[in-house]
Amino acid sequence: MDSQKTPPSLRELQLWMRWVVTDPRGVRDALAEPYPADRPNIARYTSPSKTALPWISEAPPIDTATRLDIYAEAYFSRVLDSMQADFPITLSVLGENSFQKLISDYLKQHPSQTPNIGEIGRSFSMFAATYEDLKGAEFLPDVIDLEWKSILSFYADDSGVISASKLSSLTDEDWERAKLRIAPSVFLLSSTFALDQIWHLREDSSLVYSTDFDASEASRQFLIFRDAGTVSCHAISRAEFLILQKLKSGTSLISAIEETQTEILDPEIGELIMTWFNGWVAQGIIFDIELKTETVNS
Amino acid sequence: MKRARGTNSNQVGVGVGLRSPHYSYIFENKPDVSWFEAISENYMGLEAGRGGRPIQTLEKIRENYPVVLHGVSLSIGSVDELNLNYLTQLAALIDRIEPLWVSDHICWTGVDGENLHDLLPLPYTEEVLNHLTRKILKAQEFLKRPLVFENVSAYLSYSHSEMPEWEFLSEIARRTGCGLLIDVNNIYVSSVNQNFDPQTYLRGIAPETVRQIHLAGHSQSGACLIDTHDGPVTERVWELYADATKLYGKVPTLIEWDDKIPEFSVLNAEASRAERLQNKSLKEAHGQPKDTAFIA
Repeated sequence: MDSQKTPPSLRELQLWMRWVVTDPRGVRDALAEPYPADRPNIARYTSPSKTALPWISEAPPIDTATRLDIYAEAYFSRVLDSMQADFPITLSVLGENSFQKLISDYLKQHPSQTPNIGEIGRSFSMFAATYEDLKGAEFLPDVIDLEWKSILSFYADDSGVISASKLSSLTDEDWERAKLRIAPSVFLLSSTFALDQIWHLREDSSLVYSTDFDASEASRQFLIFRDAGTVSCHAISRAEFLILQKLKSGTSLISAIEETQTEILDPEIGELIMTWFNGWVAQGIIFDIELKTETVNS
Repeated sequence: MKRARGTNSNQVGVGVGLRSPHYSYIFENKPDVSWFEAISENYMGLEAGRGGRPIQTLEKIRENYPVVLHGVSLSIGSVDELNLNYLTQLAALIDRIEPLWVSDHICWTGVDGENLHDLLPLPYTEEVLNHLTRKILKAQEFLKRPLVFENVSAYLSYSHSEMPEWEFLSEIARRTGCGLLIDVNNIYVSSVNQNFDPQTYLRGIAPETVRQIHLAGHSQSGACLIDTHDGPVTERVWELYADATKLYGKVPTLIEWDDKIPEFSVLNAEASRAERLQNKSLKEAHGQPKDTAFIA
């Protein structure tokens, strides 16, 4: 009765609108049963105590539920469109209906908390890893992680290319204390699935039937980076992965080499690192070198 | 950084919404377009980033054209406080792009930290006027510039509103010094959905507050009109635009097209039509083009 007499405050109105527009049952079912019995994510299905329904103007021939439904549909379709654009491989593997159900369930647990719709997928991989309906498609959380990292790579800050003159000017002493700066668009992934092969589904989704989705016994390593506006995914060796991981975390070049040598035990690792280094420079994976005096703890 | 000609905002005419499918056409052909409007959030970057590849593209376009930044996520009407991370990212984008002006919408897009990614309508009450005034003044202070706010398409209204939308918008502009972006298509869509006279709306807006006009297409769903931006401007909206031009003078106008995006030439043809219509209406009303009276 109170709702009929006193209009909702702006806060009460917005909380009620959020509920009715995002209730996973849809507007009509939500309005018919605003306080349902217990169920998972019950808050998403429960109306705030103050309803704004009596304060929405009636203007026939369009009824209030239809008006609210326009916002509810726009909410879901906008999120779905964004996720379809950002996770094309996952979409092509699952098909439209299963993808839509996955997004619907994802939104129940992870509603958007960012002004940028492009960030909605931040927890998507983590959610997929525990999603019951994906049994039989164990590769998908890793694929989703790959797609999310590729988005981050695309939007990562730009970095230049290190000059040949800077490289040639470095002395042996400089190299001993050099820290290589890795481009912000560089991401590293480890998976038992052939993510580099799966990556090609972005260009041609018909490859879904010939792609290797089987897990290998050992984990494989992958490098994602942006070059001239295009993000790519390449398989790399475990040694290259380890050293890039250390460099990305700020370890000096010398320490990264020494630690990797200890872990890999390959007598040719030094030569390999030189080869990789030249490639990293050429591809802009290393974009600068810092020369800092290392502090030695006594 | 090199900057385009015509950075004086009073010199721009009819512009076009910048959309990624047209990037390569724009770079290859340098079409004769007065200015572009870019969606701010598309260039603000993800996480802690500063925009990556998209902002490089926008900077390249900015070398040849004036640009306006148009946001969809300021959520100025939300009861949540202003999102300072968002404002900081927007300020950084403004510094890099040097837009003619910066706009968003009179609406709310989320509450309690949750975002609905839609432009939801507000009740037009004194409580909301005070709330919006406080937040707009704070946002303008943070961004060091007057902002421009657009009327949204609405599919519902609230019975406890104390004034019509046009009066509410004019009052917001008077209290905060912000400009108004009058979306003629949104007025038409809302007028059909809510049974009001769009002419009364246009006449109810103080001309000196109008900074920009939007034109776009809509679609029909049952008895409702939906602001889909997926087709050409309808004849009824062109008629209203002619009326708006007679009332507000020569105001920078923009063609929006967000879904089923056609070739760039189709948008440019719409822009040319807007320019011709604007000149014709101004001649009919005043004998010659009259500059907008907006004071920023």
